[in-house]
Formats: sequence, C-alpha cells, structure tokens
Amino acid sequence: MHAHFAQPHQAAAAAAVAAAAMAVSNTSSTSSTSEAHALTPVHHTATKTEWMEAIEQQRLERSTLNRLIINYLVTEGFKEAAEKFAEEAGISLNNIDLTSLDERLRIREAIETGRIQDAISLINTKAPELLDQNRQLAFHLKQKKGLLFQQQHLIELIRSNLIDEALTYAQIHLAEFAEEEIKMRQELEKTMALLVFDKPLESPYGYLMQISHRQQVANEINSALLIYQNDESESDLSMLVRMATYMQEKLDNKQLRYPKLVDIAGGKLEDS
Amino acid sequence: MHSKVFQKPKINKNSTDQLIFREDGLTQLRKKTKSENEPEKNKLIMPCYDDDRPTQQEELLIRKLVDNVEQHERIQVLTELKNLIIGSRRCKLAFYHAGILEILNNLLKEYSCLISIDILVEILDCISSFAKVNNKNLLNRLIELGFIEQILSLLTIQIDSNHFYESCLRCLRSFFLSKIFSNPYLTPTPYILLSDDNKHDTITVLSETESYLSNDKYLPVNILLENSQNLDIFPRLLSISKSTQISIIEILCCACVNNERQNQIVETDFIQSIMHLLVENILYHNKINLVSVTNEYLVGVCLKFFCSICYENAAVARQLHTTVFTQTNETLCEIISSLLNKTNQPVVISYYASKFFINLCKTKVLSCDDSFVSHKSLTTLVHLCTKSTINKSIHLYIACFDTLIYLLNGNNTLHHTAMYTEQFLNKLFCYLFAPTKIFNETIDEAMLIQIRTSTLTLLAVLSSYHEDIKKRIADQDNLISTAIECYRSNHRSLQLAALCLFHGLSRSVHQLRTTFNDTICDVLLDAVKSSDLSLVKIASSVISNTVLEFSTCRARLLSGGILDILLAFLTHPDHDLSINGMWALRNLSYLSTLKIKQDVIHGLTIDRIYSLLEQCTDERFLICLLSLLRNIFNEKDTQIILPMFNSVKLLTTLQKMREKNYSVEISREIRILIDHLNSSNAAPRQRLPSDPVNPSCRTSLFPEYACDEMDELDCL
Repeated sequence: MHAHFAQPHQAAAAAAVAAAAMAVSNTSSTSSTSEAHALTPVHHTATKTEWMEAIEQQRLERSTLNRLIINYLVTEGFKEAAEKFAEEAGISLNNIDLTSLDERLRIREAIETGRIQDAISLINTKAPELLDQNRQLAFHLKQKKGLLFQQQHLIELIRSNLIDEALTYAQIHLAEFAEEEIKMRQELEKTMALLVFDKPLESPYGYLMQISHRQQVANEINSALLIYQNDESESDLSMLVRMATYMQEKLDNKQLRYPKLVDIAGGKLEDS
Repeated sequence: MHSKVFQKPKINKNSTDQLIFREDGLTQLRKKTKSENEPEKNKLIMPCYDDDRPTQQEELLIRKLVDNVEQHERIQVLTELKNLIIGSRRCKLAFYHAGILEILNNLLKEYSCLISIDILVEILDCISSFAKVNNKNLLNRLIELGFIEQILSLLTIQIDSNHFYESCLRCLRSFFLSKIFSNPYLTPTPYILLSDDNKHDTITVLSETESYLSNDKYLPVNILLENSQNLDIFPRLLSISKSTQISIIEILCCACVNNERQNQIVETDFIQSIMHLLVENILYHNKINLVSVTNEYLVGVCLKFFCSICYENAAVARQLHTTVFTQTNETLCEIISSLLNKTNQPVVISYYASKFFINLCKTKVLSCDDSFVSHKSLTTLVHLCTKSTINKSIHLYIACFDTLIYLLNGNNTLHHTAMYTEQFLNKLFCYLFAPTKIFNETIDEAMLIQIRTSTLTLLAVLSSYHEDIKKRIADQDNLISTAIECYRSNHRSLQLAALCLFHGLSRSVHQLRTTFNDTICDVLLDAVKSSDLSLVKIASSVISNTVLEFSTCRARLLSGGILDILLAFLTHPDHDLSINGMWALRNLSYLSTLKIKQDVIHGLTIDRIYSLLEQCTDERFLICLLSLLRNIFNEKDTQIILPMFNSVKLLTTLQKMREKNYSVEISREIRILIDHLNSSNAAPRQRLPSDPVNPSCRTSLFPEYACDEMDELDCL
C-alpha cells in the first residue's frame, strides 16, 4: 500500500463533526422538541457552499489527520500498512508496541481463516486472563464474546459436516455458557439449529456461517485485547464517524436541511 | 484416580425430534418448540457442571502431564491444558476432581528448582485460571497446597525475565481478587471498589456474600502478611513494567482488610513509591497521545490504593493528609484534587479521587464543609450518578451510591448540597422504579437488586434528617408503594433498604401523620416478627417512632399486638433491640390513655421496674426507663397510677439513685422525675408546672447518629 495523505472523506468526517455541532447549537433555539410542528417551516442551516466554507475554515492540520490514520491502522492491527504509512508521512512509531500489534494481527488472521484453536492458543499466550475475565465479569458483552468465540469453533465443525463432533463439542464446551445467561442460551440454540437444515448456509441462521461472522468475532476479540492491555478499543477515526452520524441524526430530528454527508467513505455530500 | 468419562452421544436420526424436521425446515421446528416447550421455557433448569469429570481426551492429557517426558513436550501439554481451562468453568472443575492441582503443585516445585521459566509461566497461568473459579473447595485446596507461598518464593528469585514476574504477580493477584477470599466488590473490574460493610452491619446493601472460609489462615492476605518480610519483595518489582505495577498495587488494595494490615503496608513505605507512580502517570496522561490509556488505568489503581489504605484508619488518613511529593512540593491532597478540577476525566479517576477525600472526611481528618469534600468530591459523585451512561457500567453507579451513603450518613449538613440538582433525585427514582430502562443491555437479577437496594438506601439516608427533603422524597409518586413492594420481595437487602427508608421518614411528625398507612403498619408488624434479626432491629426502630400519639400507625400497631412484642424485646439478648423495646414503650406512653399506661405497667410489672431502677447499669436503657416513668406519671393519671408503685418506695428508690454516680443526663432525669412526683403529691394549688415532656424519636440505626443529636422531633 502506498502511503498518502488523508483522503478527503477523512477530513470531511472530522470537519463534518465540527460543522454539525455548530449547526445544532445555532438552531437549538428554533425548536425545543424533536418533532416538527406541521405548520412550522423547515429551516435551512446552510447552503452547500456555505457548508463547504465552514468545513474549510476548520483548519485541520495534516499531521493531525495523519495521526488519525496511524491510530486507525494500529488499532485495527494493520502493522505493515502502519509502518509504511508512518515512513511516508514521517511519523515516528517509537511509542507504539509493534510486537503487540503483530500478535493481534496473527490472532485476527487465525480467526478469519477459521483456525479457532490456534487463535485461542495465541490469545492465552498474549492475554492469559482475557477469556477467564470474560466469564467473571458481569458485562453481558464480554460474556457474549466468550460464547461467540467458542461458537465459531462449533460453526466450523458444522461447516465441515462433522455433526457428531459438533454435538459432542457443544455438549462439553458450550453448554456451560448457556447456563449463565439466557442470551447465551439463545445464541447457542441458533447455532445448534443449523444442524436441522440440509443447507445451513441458506437457513435463517446461515449468517453465522458467513465469513463476515468470523470477521465480527475477530473485531470483538481485537477490541477485547486492546481493552485488556489498557488501550483504546476503538480507533479515533471510528469514533469520529460515529459522532458525525450522531450529529446528522440530531439535525435530522430537528427537521433541518443541510448538506448531509451521504457517503462517508467517499466524502460525498448531499445537495441541499 | 477415578473419573467418569463422558459417553459420546448416540445420534439416532429417526428418534430425535429436531432431525425429523430436517426436510420441513425451521418452521416445523418452531411450531414444535413453541407448543411443547413454551410452558417449560421459563422453568428451564440447566444442569450443574460442578461434579463433572474430565473427558477421555482430558484424561489423556492428565496422564501425559504425569509421564516423564521431555521438557518441550511438557510445555506443549501444559499449553494444551491451559487452553482448555481458561474460559471454561467446567474444565477447571473437571480437572480439579481429577487431581490436577496436586500434579501442578509437584511440577511447580520441580521446575522451581530448575528455574525453567517457560514451564513455570505455563503452570502459573494455569493456577491463575484455577484461582478465578468461584468454588470454595477448589480455592481452599489451592491454598492448602501452598501455592501462594511458592509464588512468593519465586518472586524472590533474580531472573532476567519480565514475563516471568508478570505471570507470578498475575497469579498472586488472582487469589486476592477471588470473590471467595476477598471483599466481593474488589474485583479486576476497575469500577468495583471497597465495601463499607465491615462498619455498617445493619446496612446490608453492600454484601450478601458470606465468607465460606472457616479458618482465617486460608485468607491470602494473612498468608502474605503473616511474615512482614513478604511485603519487601514488592518494591523491587514495581519498576519492572506497568503490568507488575498494576498487579502489586491491586494486591495491596486487597490486603487492606483492617487497620492492622493497613498499618503494616504503610510501614513498608509504599505510600511514597505509589505516589511517585501516580504523579508520573498523571503527567503522562496529560500529554497528547493517541495510543495508550494504560496510564489512566494506573492512575485509577494508585488512587484506589490511597482510598484503601486510609479507609476507616484515622492515623493513616492523617499521614496521607500531610504527605508531600518532594519533587514538586505538592501535598497528596493537592495532587488528587487536581484530578477533580479537570473536566472529562475518566470516570474511574473521578470516582476514586472523590472517594479519597470522602475517606478522609469519615475519619474526621477533613471536615464535611471542607471544599475538597462538599464542593468537589460530593458534587463529582452526584454528577457521576446522573451521567447518562458510564460505559454502561452498573457497577460504577452502585459504587457511587454506596459511597454517597457512606458520606451522607451522619453528615446531614451535606444533604442539601447533594440535592443541588433535581436531576439527581430524578435519577435515583428512575434507578429504583425502572432500572432496566436506563441500561441498554440486559442486566441480571443480582445487579438489579443491588442497584435498587443502593438507591433505596441512599433515599433513606437523604430522608433521615431535613424535613423538606423528607417531604420531597415521600411525595414522589409510587415511592411508598415501591418500597412496600421491595419489602415484600424475597431479597433481604431490598427488605432492609425499604425498612431504612421507613425509618428515615418516621423521624418526622408530618410524615407520621400522613405517609404511614395501614399497609406500612402491616409491613412493620411482619418485619418485627421476622427470624432475621437485622430486619427486626430496623423495624423496631421504625416502630419506636410510629407508636407516638399522633402517628396514624399507632392504633393498628396496638391492635396488632405490638405491646407484647416490645415487652419481649426488653429481655432479648441483642442489646440494641432491648434498647429499642424500652424506647418504643417510652414513646408509646407519651400522651397516652390511662389504659395503655396501665397495660405497659402490667406488662413490665412493678417489681421488674424497681429491679431495673436499682440494678440496671446500662445508661441508655436507664434513661429510657426514667423517661417512660415520666410519661406514665402524666399529671392527670398520676393519682391513679402512683399508688400502684407505692409512692414512698418509689421516691426513696429515686433518691438512692440520685446519690449514685450516674451521668449528668441520668441525674437530670431522676431529678425531674422526683420533682414531678413531689409536685403531684402536693395540693393542686401548690403544684408546679411540670417540665415539658418531649417524646424523642429513636435515633437512626445508621451508626453515625449519636443518641443526643436527634433527641428532638422534626416538627413543622
């Protein structure tokens, strides 16, 4: 991958957050309720030109945008990309633990290629308390992660049509999760339901067997590992995208018209 | 070694219901599931895995461990074992039943001599995982086998391997953080903090977990600190890595179980080194960095340590108050208060920084009107409670509430400050009435009960003193009915919290006249007959107030047989309950009818009254008895009642008591009673007006309230 400076959409995301925040605060006096009255005229916050001018005025430093990209690449575990980008952008990676990054990458690859046992082994080497802590804590999300992780191994067995092994595995390794919480039990039931279909991939629970489900599990494990090592579990860029979405929802709720960012990836604005 | 091996399930494709529907697909399965299983859905009882044995494969693994194999093979087997047990309670218990702990113990001893780092790390990671299981037999076995001592011994070895020390300390930390051994609220989760339950027995909001240990020697803290030199191991290890720092500090936090242990830790001079870590990481945290928030966690852990070390320990609290960081000449208080000055601080840091000053306040090192307490810590906690989400962590809400209970109980001057925002009360009501609406994720019932208990108790504390706050709380729609519903739940902590609320409200004439209805009376009558002493004691405190003459509850309580119950309390072995009994009788007799007074006297009996006057040495009991007599000998009834006592004998007894060396308060009561009786004996025109006889609300069971602070009713 060739490193290059921030794409417009990344700058747009950051600037859109700031512009949207301004729009919300400027229009807060127009309506105190989220529902527009039938006779209330729709307010325009700005034309597209004015909006773009506001974005341009934000003066985001290139170095800030580059740090955003590095942060994203490091958080998501793209080590090689991070190294190359850092080299081209002249950013130092001295304060980043690249070994840890490497480990997370290997874990992600193991999950995404279906080598769940390898992934378990790698996780238990890197973070021996992680999967135990996921049981101990009362946080529903961490318990769900634990189940998802084991569930993926079960799904791989079903995918390979090893029904007997799948049943045995579920009985031995997953049933205990089901006794802890009803949601886990429901997740297990969905997984076991795959057994009744000739073509599990085409069943209502077929999504569990999609590669995307592996990616979902890999993302959740990656987040858990970052939390475990006391790092931010989400990249700053992801947070900015969420903030931009949130701000736009706020403006939409107020029935305000503005140049909406309709394609965050492409940085495309809607015509107002 | 006997074990039951799992039988492989025999799958008969024609017999299992699920597979019959293989061609029909999911719809049929849904129909079948719904019709057959629906009645059972909510009654599904999952099997227990505690008695499970290892599978064949797992048995094989155990054999490999025991066999004499090459080191690299041994590492492989240990890794496989580790991968099986981590994250699986079933596996841990199954291996435990198969004797794995003894095997690991032998291996640990063997390889400690050889100092084989890789194998030791694998063994320690396995033990660390076992120590996380919530099974007292397993944990006791770990302790019996001496794993903690072995780990401490390993930590003294000089090895060039950070990984090794980190593994040792992680393992040790697992023992200390175990719910079986330690305070159930001190867990790896940063939001779970100290419990205050060792001082507030009647407020059981914080702990429903009993200690499973029958012998103190099994407590990890006692093993660690029985030899004070063990603490000397840690300072050297603090400099190794952030992981070792976090582990050591959390172990020290867990070790602060009482004043003795706290003092031991202070003597090892951890305060300066941890303060150094705190400052170092605050400075780093302040710099812009996009990569690591480890420093935030470390700051939180350091603050947790300072909270733990000074908790209920005035000497240590005073020491911390004057501790100075020599490099910057700032006091520890100034350093920690700077964290409260910053907005958008991580919630854990805000919480612990606040709790530090609150602990100083509760040990009287800081007054409650100190700005660190009233303007910073209290307002920070209130703000944290009203934040819409705190990482969706219910634990932090509970911790905030419990800390506010701890602070506000006995510091009524802070009650209005705590209510500076209406949003705070509204949030409390939301948490009480509908906690599931606040939290995005489903919370389990135990958490639900905890947060409702903490909320209700906090409302009880807030309603215990100021009349305007009482009114605001009592007037809230559905509060009383919810409190009644909480009492009627099967959960003791909720029952206690509900009774605490009734007690707080009962300390008001207005509330006694308006809020206390027949349903509450029935609750009190039920609670006072409970087999649970804590419930009885709190109920008796409420009843002490609700038997007053102007209370709407009085008639119902009397018809419910409260007099006999109170008389029975007088001889109860529990001292507080006997005091409450006499106190309630005193209040009952105030402005009472002749009949009730006679019933009280007959219940007590004249002989017993004299016996108590002559022999009782308990001052609180005596004050209540003397006040009771004052109430009984109300002007209009004195002529009828006095002959029952033989006035000469009574006066003589009282005169003799006057000559004894009682406290000022008792002497005053005796004098007033004598004067009253003498004036009663005189001709009507010679009678002096008697002193106004004020009934007194029973003071709160919340320990901070001393008897004489709340001697007057809160009258409008």
